[in-house]
Amino acid sequence: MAPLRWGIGGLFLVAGGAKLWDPAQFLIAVESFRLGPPPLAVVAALVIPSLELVCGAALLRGRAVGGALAWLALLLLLFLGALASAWARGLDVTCGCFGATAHIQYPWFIARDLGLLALVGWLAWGKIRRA
Amino acid sequence: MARHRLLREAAGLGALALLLAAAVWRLHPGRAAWTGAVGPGEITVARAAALGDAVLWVDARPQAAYDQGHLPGALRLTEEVWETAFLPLLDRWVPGQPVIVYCDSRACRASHRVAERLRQAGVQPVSVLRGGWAAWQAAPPGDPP
Repeated sequence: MAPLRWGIGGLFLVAGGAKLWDPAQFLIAVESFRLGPPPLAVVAALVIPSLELVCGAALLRGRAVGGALAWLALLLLLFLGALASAWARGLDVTCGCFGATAHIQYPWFIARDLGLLALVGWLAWGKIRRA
Repeated sequence: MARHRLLREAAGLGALALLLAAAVWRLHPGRAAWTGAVGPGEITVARAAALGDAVLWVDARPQAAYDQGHLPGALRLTEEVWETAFLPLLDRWVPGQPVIVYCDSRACRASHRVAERLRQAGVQPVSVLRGGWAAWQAAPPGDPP
């Protein structure tokens, strides 16, 4: 389980760090989903990557693992909901993943986030069993 | 007990994340691009409108966006088409005429890159329209458009 925990932790640490390095680019992505007013988009563009970075670091260190997995699962559910909503509305959105601004292909990103959610769930299940 | 521990951990991580977000909000050198502050080299919609017909508008958006609509008389200039589009812009520009570059929205960076290249090429004064095309479209009644 430790290698998987490190892998997931490293992934989110890098993803969050890249977005915080250049928040303006992730703000473009958040705004492209048109889920709320601009001030809310700015808050999301700062808080989401901060959570990713903090939880990624927690998983790498093996501290507060349960809390980190809970937050990451919530974030992934949020991402999936946003993707589904944007797809249903026919929006042309940017990902903002790892700081990039490429326009996304919905099926690929939904499948990717579902896969990550499954891995996070697997880690959480392993932790519950060991508790 | 397990649930309480989970909540404590989540609350602690959440608090750390909020602190980090607040620190980025306060300290990030590029914060002008995504806050309400007008950054260096930027101009608001109101001030740009006050310049009227004196402005040479430069559109730094993709071709499709430009074709759908653009500011009056705007020339399209992006880094991708610089080689072919810069000289025609230079022909239109009168030395000293204010040039304002815009792209999609507040967080768009293309306009800043184009503005910087124009300044390096000796075009002055050059500003970036704060909020871009989206801000211009959202301007209150009585203001442009």
